[in-house]
Parts: sequence; C-alpha cells; structure tokens
Amino acid sequence: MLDSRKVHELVTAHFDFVWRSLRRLGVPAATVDDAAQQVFLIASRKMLDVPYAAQRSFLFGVALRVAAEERRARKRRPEDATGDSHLSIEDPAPGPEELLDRGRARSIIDNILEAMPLEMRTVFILFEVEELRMSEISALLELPPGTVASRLRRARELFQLAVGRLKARPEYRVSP
Amino acid sequence: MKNLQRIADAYPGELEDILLSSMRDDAPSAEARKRTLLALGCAGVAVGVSTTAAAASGATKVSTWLVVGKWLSIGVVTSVAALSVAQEVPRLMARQSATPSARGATASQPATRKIARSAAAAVPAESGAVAPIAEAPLDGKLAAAGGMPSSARSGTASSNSSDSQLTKEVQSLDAVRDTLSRDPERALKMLAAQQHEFAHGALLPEAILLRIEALSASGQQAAAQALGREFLAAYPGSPHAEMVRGIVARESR
Repeated sequence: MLDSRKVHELVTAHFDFVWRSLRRLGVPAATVDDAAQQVFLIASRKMLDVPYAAQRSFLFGVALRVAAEERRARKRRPEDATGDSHLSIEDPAPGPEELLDRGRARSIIDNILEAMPLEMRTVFILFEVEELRMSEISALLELPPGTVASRLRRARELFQLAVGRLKARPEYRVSP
Repeated sequence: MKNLQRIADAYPGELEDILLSSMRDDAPSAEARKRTLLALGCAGVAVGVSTTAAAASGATKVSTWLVVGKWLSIGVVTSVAALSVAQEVPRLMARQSATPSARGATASQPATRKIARSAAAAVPAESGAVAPIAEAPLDGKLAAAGGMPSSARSGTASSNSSDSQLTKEVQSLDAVRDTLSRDPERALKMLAAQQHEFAHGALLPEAILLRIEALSASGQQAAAQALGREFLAAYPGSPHAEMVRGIVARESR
C-alpha cells in the first residue's frame, strides 16, 4: 500500500484524467465519482511497484476494468441499462441552439462513443480528449504504433459518420 | 441562419469541434476529489499541502490581520452587549424558567435519514456531553491552519461556505480516522459528536463506514454487522461496499 503522501500526489495528479476517462468509457454521471474512487482504491493497494512514468498507464488500465465492470453491472439492471445518456443519435435531434448547452453536447458525444467498439473508443478518447500523442498511446496501451494508428483512423471515420448523420438532419440544413 | 450564426459567434469551428471540446471541458467536482482523498485516508495531507501553499503565498499575514480585526470588533460588541445585559438581567431571569434548555431543543430535532438514526443508535448514551472530545483534535488542526479558536467558531458556522463546511467535515473524519487505530471507543464518541455537527454532511457514507470499523474494532460485532447491512442496503454501489461486505462476513463467523 502506498503511503498517504504518495496517494495524495497520485490523486492530485491524475484524478481529472481518470474521472474523464471513466465518463467517456461510458460510466454514467451518477456513478462516475464512485467509480473514480474505486480506481484509486485499487491503485493505492497495487501500485507500490509501479514506476512513476507508468502510473498513468496503470491507472488507465484500472479505469478500463472498472468501467467494464460498471457496464456489466448496468446490463444486469435493465432499468438503467441506458445510464444517464438518454439521448440516442437516432432520437429527435437537438437543434443547433441546444448544442450550445455543453451538457447536451456531451450527451451526444457519449452516444457516439457508445456506438464505437471499445478498443477504438479507447484510442479515440486518449487522442482527442486527453490529447496524447500516438507514441504515448502506444506505450500506455502497450500496443504497436501501427495498431494505434489504424484504430484511431477507424474511430475517426465512425465519429465523422455519426456527425455527418447529425448534420444531415433538417435542423442543420440551412437555406442560404 | 440566425442560429448557425450564433453558434459561429460563440464557438468558432464546426459541430465536430463543439462535440470534442465539450468532452475536454468535462471535469470532476472538487468534492469528488476530496471524497476520494478521504476514502484513501490522506485527506489530512491535502489540508497540510493547501495550508503550506497559503502560507507561502502570504495569505497567513492577511488572515492574521483579519483575525486581529475580528477580535477587536468582537471586544467592542461584547462590551456593548455586556452593558445591555446588565440592564436586562432582572427581566431575563424572570423569563428563564419558561424557556426550554438548549440541549432539550437539540435533542428533540428529528433525524432526517433512517440510516443516520440507526448509526447514532449503535452507540448508546452519546449525548452532547461528548462534543468536546471531538472538538479537541479539530481545534488543533484549525489552529495549525491559522483558524480561530473554537469559541468563535460556532458564531461563524452559519456564514461559512459549503466548501469550508466540507473541509471541516473532512478534517473531522480525518481526526476520527487518526484515533480509530489507537482508541476505537473514543473514535465512536467522536463520530457521535461528528454526526451532531454534520447531520446533513456530504460525507455521510464515509462517516458510517468509520463507525462500522470502530464498532468492529471495539468488539461490538453485532452492532457492526447490523450497521454494515444497513450500509449495504442504502449504498449498494458504494466503492466501500466490498470492504463492508468483508466486515459483515467476518463478524457473522
């Protein structure tokens, strides 16, 4: 178990990263605080031998497992299987004004991410949200650079496709 | 056209950018971080760091002058009040017999949550008399942080922001955690006092968890088990649920 000061440093340095990663990995807003706490509880017990440079990678690995467990638990409870993201991209689309609401925008992007295979979503959020370089993602996920690049390319295609579908709706078509 | 123009003004860029930046802006609350630090038993470290930072930035000097000014003001107000009281004493004494005691009024306040009531019931005979035990470590920490004496604290409690309330709550539970390993009985008394002070606190699950641990450590297995079961019923998805299940299972053997 890490000592208090090291745990404090760990939480201070990586809490936002872990929390955001969990949200984008599909953990609903209502349970993300608890899930983030769970990540650090696990990490504080197992991280003694993890070198400083590998902390982020280790935490992300734990976050991936906690998010997967959370998804499984949600599937076992059908009443909240959709989490807090009730807006499907197939639902009546939000108008441009509504997009100004960041919460609404997050709801849309979460649904787009939900439709992506997990391995693509993981690379996509690390690149687009955490703004890591491909070499960093490669090291973090212990994947060959070529695999990271191809997953990112495919994820971007899926993202563009989903955004294209949103734009194709009448609400976004503006006559000149 | 008007709507799209408005978006263009507010968020230069395409729909893609709006969606992606909404993800980047997403951030946890400060409370979530504090709760995690508390759960990991290092909230006190956070307090120490912030205090050091405040001292380094010169905030201590400012707070010292504020405290001096505050006590001067209190002195003036107290003198005026004393004069008024001296004139009013006969009338107050006449009314006193008809006024219910403060302790009686506090005791009659209804508890708002069932589990909170049960948690209190798990430690019998912990009335207001134990409050000083809980305040002793708190005072020490506040003094170290350049805070005011406890006698002045109650007067300003209602004007504190929710954030400082949370900080106090974290400090209070931190003091309990420090005591728990050495003296679980005393930790239970501190928790009872803590519950009076933070009846609607944001860290109720953490307080109950500490109570379960303290009950277990002090040999009150049945009470620990009962409270553990209530905790699991109230917070089945809590990150502490696994630990509580372990305690309940251990106590039932």
